[in-house]
Amino acid sequence: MTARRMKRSFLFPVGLLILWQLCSVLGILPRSVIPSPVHIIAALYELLAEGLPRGSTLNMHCLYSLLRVACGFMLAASVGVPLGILCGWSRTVRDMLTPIIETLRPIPPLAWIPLAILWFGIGLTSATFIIFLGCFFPILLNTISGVVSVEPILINAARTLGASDRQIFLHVLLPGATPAIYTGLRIGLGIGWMTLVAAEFTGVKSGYGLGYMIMTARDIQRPDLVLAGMAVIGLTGFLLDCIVRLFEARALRWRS
Amino acid sequence: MSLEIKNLSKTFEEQDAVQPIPALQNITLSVNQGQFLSVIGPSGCGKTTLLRIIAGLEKASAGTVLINGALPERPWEHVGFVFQEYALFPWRTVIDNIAFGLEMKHMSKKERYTKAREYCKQFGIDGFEYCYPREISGGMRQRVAIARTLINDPTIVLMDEPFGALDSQTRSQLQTFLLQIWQRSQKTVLFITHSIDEAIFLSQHIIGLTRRPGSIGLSLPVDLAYPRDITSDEFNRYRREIIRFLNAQQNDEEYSSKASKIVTWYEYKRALC
Amino acid sequence: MNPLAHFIHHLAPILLILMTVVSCSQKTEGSKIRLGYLQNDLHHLPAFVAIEKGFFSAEGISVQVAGVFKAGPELMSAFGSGSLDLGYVGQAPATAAALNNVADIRFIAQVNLEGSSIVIDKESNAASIADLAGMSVAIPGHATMQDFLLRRAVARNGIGIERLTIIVLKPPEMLQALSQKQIQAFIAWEPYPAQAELNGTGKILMQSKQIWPRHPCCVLITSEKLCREQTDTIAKIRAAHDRACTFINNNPEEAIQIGVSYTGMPRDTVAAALSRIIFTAEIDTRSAEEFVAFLKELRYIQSHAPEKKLAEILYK
Repeated sequence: MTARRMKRSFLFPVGLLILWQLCSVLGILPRSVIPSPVHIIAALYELLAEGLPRGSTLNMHCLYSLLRVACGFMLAASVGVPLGILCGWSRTVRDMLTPIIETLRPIPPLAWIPLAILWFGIGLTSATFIIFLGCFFPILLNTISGVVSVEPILINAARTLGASDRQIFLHVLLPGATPAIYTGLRIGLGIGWMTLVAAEFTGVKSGYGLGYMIMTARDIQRPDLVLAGMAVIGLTGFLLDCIVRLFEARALRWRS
Repeated sequence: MSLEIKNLSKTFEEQDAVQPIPALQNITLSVNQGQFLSVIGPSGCGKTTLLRIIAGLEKASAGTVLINGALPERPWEHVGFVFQEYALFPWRTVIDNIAFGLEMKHMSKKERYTKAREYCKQFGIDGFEYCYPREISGGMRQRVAIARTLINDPTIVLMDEPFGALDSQTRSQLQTFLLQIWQRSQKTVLFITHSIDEAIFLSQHIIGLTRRPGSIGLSLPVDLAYPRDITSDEFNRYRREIIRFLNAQQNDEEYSSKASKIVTWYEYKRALC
Repeated sequence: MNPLAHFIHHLAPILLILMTVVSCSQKTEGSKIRLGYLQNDLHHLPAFVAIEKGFFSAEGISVQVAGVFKAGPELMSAFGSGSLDLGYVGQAPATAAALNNVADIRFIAQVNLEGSSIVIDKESNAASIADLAGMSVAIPGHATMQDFLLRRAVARNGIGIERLTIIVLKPPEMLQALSQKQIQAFIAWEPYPAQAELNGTGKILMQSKQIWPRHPCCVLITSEKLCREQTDTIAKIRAAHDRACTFINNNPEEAIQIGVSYTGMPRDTVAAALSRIIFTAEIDTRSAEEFVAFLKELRYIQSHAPEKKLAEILYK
């Protein structure tokens, strides 16, 4: 990003925050219902120092939420990427799986929550399952389209250079599909993160989690804590995306 | 005999075609070890199909292809294929592209890099070893592609319009370069081109394919000493003969450009996977 | 476009939307009183009775059910946005909302006392609160009356609350979780303890009246505006509500029938639940203060002088 664009991406949101604060101070926005940015920052501090419920601090909530996402995301990636390559490689497998994939895909992960609790109980396993469902389909579908879009000429070239089927899989299809796989991973991570927070609304065993924290803030009627929690979720999601982008940029140096 | 093609025919029976499309008809051809042979013909006459069948990337409908006198089980292991579009792996550096074949044979990194560096030097691409394909010019990319093929030491090198996408200056440089390489390595080369001059400049023998379905309509030995002078009278004589052959193909009323399109390379690309 | 124009160009629609939202939410009510209560909550039986028996209309006021909610905090948020005038709701969310300035409300009457229970697994050998140590216990939420009751019970038995694994679950989910052995105990309001008892998944370890006799539970609240502007309407609402409470106490069988028709639960469940609830319109200031002290102790309220604020919201 150029310095000019960076400046733009920074100044506009900051300007909005200042305007928001101004409206709050001038009483245009009712402070008890729409807390001002300064109040939200104070609430953030409260979450860090005192925690909510008291004693359960923000960093622990973040940690547990990240752990749940990490489990679901890893599982989705380790199933979605190989299965996607297989589907992209073999038309037969693709034809067999497409109707199943396309039927399951539109079901919102949250609709699975009652079943997840029934099958896996309350805890990490069912959270992992729900997040897995959120991450899985974008990863799978992007991998398939990545493999399908690998130029057949590259496969032929590899074959005439002596590559076996297994080697073509590893050295042509996988790297060729990598850009699309990264796109899938990024979308999957974003959806997984969204799903997680909603999943935590329905109960957690450990007593930690950002969604759980927001639910508690709602229970004690503190919109400022709710907004602070939302800000943490948004910024963490943004940060996670940046991290994946960093890996992506490293892995895809060969592209412009 | 390096390559023997006997009564080879190919008919495409694709699902989206209304009727089967005959592409090649009864081709019989022998190529000696170390010979440089060019194939020319109108678009869609099946030149590329011929190369793909030799490489085993496509099955023949009838006839046989013998390499070194035998019917190979995996023909692609005996041939090198150089594509017009270079077909370099964009995610590999120049040196890793060149060393690809060696890597597939599980040669150690040190060994294959030593060998690949030699080829880089020989092909005038030293200094670019760690560039990605997008960072180098078209002419450079085709040198990499040729080096990548030759490092595998194939029996026959199949070249499908390798210089078609290059500007004329780079093209003539690479033609001279290819001749040097060929004379040094003594490989059998089967070279497809659209350019009459290129065919005469490079080959010992020129085969002309007729319009679709392609069959051999011209077999022309070129008895000129290398390096050849493209402004000489003898050169012109060959030129005239080939032009006459090609014109005869194009004037034919039955020539259908639409049908011929189906058998051009770009269409196979889709049908492949 | 220069940067400033660019800025305004982007902001204008957002501001417009915000202003519309704010101005809409502040619109005052018409002649009808908009009522909200919780779904399937037998504590709110006086609301059902008053509507069913026509007590509100008998007083000459027109009440319209504007919202049936799944949880107290949501109902309080609706009050905060000005979409309700009258609400049957737990004392806990109402107190928290008022003391955290989210909703400007007044408590005009008590609705019920007691009516919660600690339920344990049917096969559990636990005989006392002390036996809960090491168990997973579900509560409906932090800072709820049930949270308070559980903490009090546990503290009184000499074990720390940290010896229990506290899980927040919605009461309907508690039943499922208990039957699947995900949790070993829960504390919830009626009819969920009765339901657990009658469908054979759980048994009652302790009723809330054993923890805190005559503890407050649900209250009847109105907006501050209504209290200020229509004193006579408030008096009529109180009269209707009072009549409903008396009716329940005097006609238990008919009250059960109304409870059954509103919750869709079996008669036995409703009857068992109602036997553990005291319906009264009398607010006990002292117990209200006790609950505020609890919220204050856990630092769940922001108000610096919550006792003063409480005195303000208890409508005389």
